[in-house]
Amino acid sequence: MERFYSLQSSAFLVAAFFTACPFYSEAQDNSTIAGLKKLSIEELMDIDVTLVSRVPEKLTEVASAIQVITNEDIRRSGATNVPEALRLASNLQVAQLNSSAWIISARGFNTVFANKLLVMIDGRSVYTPLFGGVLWELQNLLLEDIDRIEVVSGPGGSLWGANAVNGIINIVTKKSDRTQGGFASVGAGTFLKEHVAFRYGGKFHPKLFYRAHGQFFSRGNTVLESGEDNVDKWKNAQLGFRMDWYPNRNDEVSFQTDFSKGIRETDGEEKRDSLRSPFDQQYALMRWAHKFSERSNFTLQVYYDRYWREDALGVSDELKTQDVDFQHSIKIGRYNQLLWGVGYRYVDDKVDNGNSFAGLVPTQRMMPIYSAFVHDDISLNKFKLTIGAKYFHNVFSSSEIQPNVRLSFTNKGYMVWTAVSRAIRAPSRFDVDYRLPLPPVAAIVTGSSDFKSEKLMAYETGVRFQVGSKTSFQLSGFYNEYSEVYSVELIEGQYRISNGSRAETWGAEFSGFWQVDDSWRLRGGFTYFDKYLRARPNRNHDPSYLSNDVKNQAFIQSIVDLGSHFQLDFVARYLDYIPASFATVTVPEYATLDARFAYSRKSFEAALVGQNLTSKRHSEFQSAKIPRSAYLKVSFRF
Amino acid sequence: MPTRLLSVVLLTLSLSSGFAQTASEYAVKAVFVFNFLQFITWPETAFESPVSPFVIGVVGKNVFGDHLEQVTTGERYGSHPIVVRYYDDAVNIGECHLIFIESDYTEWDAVLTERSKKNTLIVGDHANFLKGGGMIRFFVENNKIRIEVNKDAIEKNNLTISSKLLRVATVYKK
Repeated sequence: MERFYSLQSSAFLVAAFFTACPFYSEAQDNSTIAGLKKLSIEELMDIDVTLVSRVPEKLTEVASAIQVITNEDIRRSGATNVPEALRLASNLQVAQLNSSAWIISARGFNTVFANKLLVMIDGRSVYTPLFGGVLWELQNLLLEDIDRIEVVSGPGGSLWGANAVNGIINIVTKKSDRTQGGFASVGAGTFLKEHVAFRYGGKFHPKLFYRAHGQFFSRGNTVLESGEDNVDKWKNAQLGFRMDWYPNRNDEVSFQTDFSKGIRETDGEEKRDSLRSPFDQQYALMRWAHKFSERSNFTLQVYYDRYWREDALGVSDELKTQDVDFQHSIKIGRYNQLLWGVGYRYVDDKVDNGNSFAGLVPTQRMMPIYSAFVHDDISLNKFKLTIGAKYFHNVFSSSEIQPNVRLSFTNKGYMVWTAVSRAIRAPSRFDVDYRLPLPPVAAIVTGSSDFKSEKLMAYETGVRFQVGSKTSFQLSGFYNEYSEVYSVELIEGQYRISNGSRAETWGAEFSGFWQVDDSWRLRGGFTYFDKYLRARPNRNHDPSYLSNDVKNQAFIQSIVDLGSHFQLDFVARYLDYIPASFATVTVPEYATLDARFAYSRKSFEAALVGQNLTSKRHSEFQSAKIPRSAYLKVSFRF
Repeated sequence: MPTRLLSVVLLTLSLSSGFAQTASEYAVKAVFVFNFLQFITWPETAFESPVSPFVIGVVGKNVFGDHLEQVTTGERYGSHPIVVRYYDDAVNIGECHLIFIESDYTEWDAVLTERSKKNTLIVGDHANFLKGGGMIRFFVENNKIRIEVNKDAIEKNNLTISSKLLRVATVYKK
């Protein structure tokens, strides 16, 4: 049955690929140079342009496996939020758990509490020290104003920050001078029920730009194995503001703030009546970039972030973060580019264990985090050697040093790189403070302050090819050795959270894009991953639930302009099956297709999007099933 | 279900045609650059001989692909054939009449100080470009290309700008 399904799916994927070929008439003269030359300058100023995504120099030269998702890739995929947009990077495994939860990881160890990924939005770290993972339902952005999402798989070395073990996701929104004018969109659908978004950008002053934005959405429920509706509808509203100030040639100051509030339907254990679990979030961030000279510049960033989230059984969590970060880049001599930085973060986490049988003790923890890094690029001829180290200290772990060495060789059209790194995943509250049951009863399962950081030695290599501006692709391979990985073991009559597991993982990642012609672009990739995860010698437990990873996954995105006003886009993806563990069920392999058909004019666009079209519903993790759905979205620009 | 979807897809594919209104950012900018030659006057003293080339220099990454060549093939500025040259950095720029500095090239102010006395039109993408001494800046508004023009800087370089171009541009005021 499963084999038949995959044959059918691959046949469909092939068919989808070929129907994306642009069989249109030759009347799009005006998008070619010859056509554009015929226009008067006024007409030229009336043309809608598709903007080139500006990938900063450093990304094309970075000796890491990196994939970039541009604003246009997101818009043309029909993705409705950040996790759906992240499916457009094949080095990430994205599984939707239920209507408001996603589990996302790179290079393995994907679980409900996936904790090996560093995720940042405009420099603000959004993983929660509660369990080291990301609450994706809190990260709602106006997709229209995202500039790009950089996805690095592997420990990114010192370039991005602390706690990146398997990868880094860096989401960058456009500066407000690039989002001037108004944008409004209204959408309605079967799973994305309602969606309203607006943004207005203007300037207070020729050097002071701003934008204000707001968004509201309500999303429907997934479906259970039995066919019954799951209790997981939710909705969210947010309002945000950003300012960018360019006082002079050497300074840039940026300020952002956002407020959001939402509510999720959750199930109580005693009754099957749906309860209401609200959440809210606020943050304010300021960044100042100053250039001393062409050779030296620094960035100073300060932010405050707070979220409050309630779950079933009256369990709630309030997390407040204050962070200061300073980075300085300086070119020394002819060959050295030195980057160094220091950071201090203060996290105040308060938990209410409600009526839950298990929880965190103590309920409140103050967690100061100190970090520093040094990163030196030495360029000689076509070689570049990078030596870096990161220092990290939090309240649970001793000081950790994470060194890394990278070597790359660049020639016309290609770059080869290799790297060795050490990375750590610092203990989170779930590792140390967990108690089941809660005091005063003696604990059956308990965390421990002896829990040490998980450690990784990563060996990676890769090659990147650029063939003109029309196509580029990259292939990378890795071998990771994890030690002192999380375990729950029977020690002296108690189940203790300890570091009793180890693993080796290995794999390969391929991705690329091909601008076939002016109106057809393809991008995609595939990833192979395998692991050997087991208990350490003389430790008696089964760690297989720590890693719900697929061996193979692939996706292809086709973006086609049909003549002048129409767009027909597809994203087809395939994920291998996830084997069962003692805590999780098998998730069968699946292939699915999203399609988008849009009519686009100067200041108006209407898009009809179908998601997960190939089957009525399918499961991506555990047993909640994601339904086939469609939505219509109309947008205005003024 | 798959076959039904396929027929819908094929049906929509046949609905194309019409007056094109979208183009890629740098194709449009390339045509703008060519238009600058029609609205700005370079003095003959800027050229070695009546048939020496009008040189367009692109500094930094080549963001135009082959669009600039496509626009300028067989075209002339007066009697001067138009030639496009690419430079990785400011150090090696030869004689140029129009320089375009792409937005990721960070040392653009070095180019400006070097070129400010010669008969060169300097065009760029950076937010602060005109503040720093640039002459024409491209910016994007509602997905359309716009230009901001520093008339004084242009005239200081012995170039004359036609009022037809000033009319459609945002004029830069200190």
